[in-house]
Amino acid sequence: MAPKKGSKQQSKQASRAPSGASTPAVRAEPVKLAPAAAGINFGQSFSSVAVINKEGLADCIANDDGERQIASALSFNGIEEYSGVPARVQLVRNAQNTILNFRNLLGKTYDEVKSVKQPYNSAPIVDANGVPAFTVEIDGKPTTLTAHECAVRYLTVLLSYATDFLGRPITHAVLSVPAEFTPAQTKALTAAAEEAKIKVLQTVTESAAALAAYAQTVLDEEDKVPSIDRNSVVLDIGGSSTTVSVVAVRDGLFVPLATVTDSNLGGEAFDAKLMEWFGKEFTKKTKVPLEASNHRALMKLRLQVEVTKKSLSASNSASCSVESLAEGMDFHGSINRMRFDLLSSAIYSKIIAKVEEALEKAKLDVLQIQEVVLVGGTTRIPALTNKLYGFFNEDNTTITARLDSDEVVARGTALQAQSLLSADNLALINRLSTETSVLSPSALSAPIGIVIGEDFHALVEANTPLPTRRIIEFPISSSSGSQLLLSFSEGEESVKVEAPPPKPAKKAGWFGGKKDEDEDEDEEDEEEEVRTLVAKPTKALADLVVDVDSKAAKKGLKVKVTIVVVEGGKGTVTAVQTVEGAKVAQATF
Amino acid sequence: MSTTIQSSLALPSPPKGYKAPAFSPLSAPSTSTLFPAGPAFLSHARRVLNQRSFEEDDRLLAEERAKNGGDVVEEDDADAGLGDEQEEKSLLQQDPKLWKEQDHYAVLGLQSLRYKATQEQIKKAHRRKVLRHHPDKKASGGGDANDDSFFKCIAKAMETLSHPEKRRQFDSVDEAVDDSVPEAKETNAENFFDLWAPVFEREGRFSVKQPVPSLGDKETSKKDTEAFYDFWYNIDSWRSFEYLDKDVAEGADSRDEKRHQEKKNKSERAKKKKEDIAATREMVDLALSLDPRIKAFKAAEKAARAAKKGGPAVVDTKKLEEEKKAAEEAAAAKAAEEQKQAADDKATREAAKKAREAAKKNVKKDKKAITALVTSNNYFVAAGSAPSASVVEGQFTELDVIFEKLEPEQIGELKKQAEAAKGPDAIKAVIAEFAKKVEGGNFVQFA
Repeated sequence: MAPKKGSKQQSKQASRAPSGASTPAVRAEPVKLAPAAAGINFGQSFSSVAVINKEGLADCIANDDGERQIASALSFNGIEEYSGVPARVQLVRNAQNTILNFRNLLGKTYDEVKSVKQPYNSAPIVDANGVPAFTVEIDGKPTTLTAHECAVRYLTVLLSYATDFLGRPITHAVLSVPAEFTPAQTKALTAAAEEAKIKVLQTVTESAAALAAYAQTVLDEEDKVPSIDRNSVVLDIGGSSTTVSVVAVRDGLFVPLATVTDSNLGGEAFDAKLMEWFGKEFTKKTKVPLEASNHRALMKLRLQVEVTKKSLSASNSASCSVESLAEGMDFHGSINRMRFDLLSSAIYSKIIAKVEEALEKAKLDVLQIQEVVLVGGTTRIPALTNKLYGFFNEDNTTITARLDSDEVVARGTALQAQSLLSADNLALINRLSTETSVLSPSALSAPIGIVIGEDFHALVEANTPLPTRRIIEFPISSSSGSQLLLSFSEGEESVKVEAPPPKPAKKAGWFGGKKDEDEDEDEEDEEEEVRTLVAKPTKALADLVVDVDSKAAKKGLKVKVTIVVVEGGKGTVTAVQTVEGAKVAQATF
Repeated sequence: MSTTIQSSLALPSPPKGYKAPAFSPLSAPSTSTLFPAGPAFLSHARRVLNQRSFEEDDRLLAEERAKNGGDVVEEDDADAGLGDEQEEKSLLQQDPKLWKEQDHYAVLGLQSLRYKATQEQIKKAHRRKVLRHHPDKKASGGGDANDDSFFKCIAKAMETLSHPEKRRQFDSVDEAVDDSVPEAKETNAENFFDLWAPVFEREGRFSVKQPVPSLGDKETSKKDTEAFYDFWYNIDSWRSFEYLDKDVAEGADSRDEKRHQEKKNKSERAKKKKEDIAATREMVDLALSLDPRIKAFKAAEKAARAAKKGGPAVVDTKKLEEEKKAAEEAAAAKAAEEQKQAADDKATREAAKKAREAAKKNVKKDKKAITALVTSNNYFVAAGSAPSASVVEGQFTELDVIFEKLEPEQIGELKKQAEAAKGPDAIKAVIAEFAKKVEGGNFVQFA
């Protein structure tokens, strides 16, 4: 139904165009039928596609099976070609004709990846004239598909889903790429997309896409408005890899400070733990060993534990049942969250360690992180958020998954694609390839702030790309005289570590039995030190004296301060009362 | 676009004897990279690639927006506010059974428009409200699906406002429309139009005849001004008061009771309508009496009349006013003078009157004396002989004529001379002499 409608509209437009292109009615038409653009998040394990819906919001679309997370898998059985979860199901019986994990092979030579082992007995990587490829049986004939060809086939399928949803063909897209992708890999991915008849407007790093999605989503009323300058940690845990990016968000600009990737840490690690657990349970219950060679049984169980894992994120306990798991024996087991968390505590620690590593690389303290953005399906595990809260300071760090962590990257790319449909914006992006200086601007090495008394209050944070401008309005209190002083200075943030306040002398244990417990607790307390972030001015930059109206406070007037720092580090500050005709105080540094 | 950060920091005042410290330049900037994503990046790239400063970019953006989106935004604006007004909690919780008390415009979120709302706008606002408050929607949002009271209120509001007759009835008694009329005290020639134009505009909504003429301004011609007041004195208003009708008490199904209530309602309506007409008339009267134009017209007419009589009248309000003032002053002076004169006149008149009365008295005396002389001298006939009746008669008649024609002073003189004369002949001669002075007299006895 839907595509029909689209084609009809198109033909209308075509027939009208020559007749009277100058009338406004006809001119308005092409805007409506502007090339549709999508955002595609092509992942190693799962992919998603988002488009802009009628309300102008980014919407992650579902495929025929109702899945918004479409497994990045291809499978061939006879003349049938499967993709998504149906392709993964083929792993049980038809593993050798099923292709997985082909995205990361794009842009690489066979020699680079020959040691990579494909999981679950799926089609192994073979050499096809130096490029990685897979040999599968299509319609009874062995066919060699290179990674590139697989990607083209897969992207074509993704595109068809989006086209079906929108009712008109998708012609343009923005693709997300993982942070660790080399330019060659990005180029190969773009080439694959172009071959799938998608005009790639831009490729965007996954963490940037996620942040862009947040930046362009209207906040709910109850949401805390994030400050425009903040340090964010984008924690992206996908099916097979984990990426931690520390990004300085400066008035909507994203400055990556550090990125750490572990390509063997992801949702599959949790699956493996669950498999192990349920496998043991099956053996205990049925006395039938689940051998590593019993590929079919393992695959059945794997597909099922994935479901179990997902339902554990929603409810406190989940069951896992597989019919005829091994030797005709059925399996039914259940697990609760606590057990699951115990099983996966090592993985949590690994993730936290990755975050720590990223922070260290970015030379930032935990206290300097104001926001953690969760990306990827695995971050839905509730215990992970708790662990992160334990790691970060709950008071000054918000952990957000307000936008669906599964979909946020695709939605960010869709929004980016939408904005690039404007020719002006696209021209800007296209100029980036030659004028790369835009992508590597100079940035403030220390925060600029205002000194009140002895305290330093940052107005422009460190790492803010130049040129930059900040407009800040200060209230005028009724007690202030006819002049106000603004002392601008450079500052420095440091973490003050204080020993905990001395504990009151321990009372003699009246209850002998409880004494030991008490001691343990106290010891833990003593280890904890109070860490606070302190900022102090380092060198004065400029002072401004602003004349204010004596009645300014009553009138609700404010002092508007504008700080502009241009490329090269020359700054100008102006301060003026927010009333017409007021005298402007200005200084440069 | 740039966002403005609202800080809550209190700025200090410069200390006494403030001296600027030594300043140093900014530390050398470091290098960084940017993720090319997000709207802020596009703005950044636009500025850097086109080498625009922040101010320039702001200006160009504003220009572009004005050029491209201007019309579209306007169109959106026209509908934007419909039904989007804040919904007070009390509004949402009102009982749909008490729909007579409900403010239908508030329910549809048309409080700012009220009677000015077009049917189209009402429709749009209703649509919005229904979409927001439909019970199905509530159920999906986790609310109580059975709580459709506000939805019923919306339906009732729509029912009332979409039906022209019902809407007029509601508008007639819409309490939320301010019906105050400016007072005479606060009105002067300067603010008359500012104060009264909205009043007439507002009251004009009840007129059957539309459009209602506008109050105009200082420059409005006499004809138009008169037409305006004519219109208002003859206004055909559709305002009616059915909406305030009291329903028949519930459960009373007797026909008599119903009729009684209907009768009461009818008389109440008539009463209110009468009051309304009176109030409107009062308002127009007040406005007319305060209208500076009407005063000017009157002054001009007067000046024109004066010009017809005297010198050329220049129709100039200022001059007219001055003239009027001068005239008033003159009149006052005149009146004072007149009063004074009147007082003087009265005195003289009274004196004259007294004198006249005295003279009259004297004349009477004199006449009596002369007549007595005539009688005592035996009517000037020989002594011993009785005068004939005709002589006596003739003498008295002639004396009367003499007295009538002579001035009082002459009569006095006559009396003096007659008394001084010796002998009846001498007296007769004196009288005869005076008789000669009387013009046209034909005297036989006193010849």
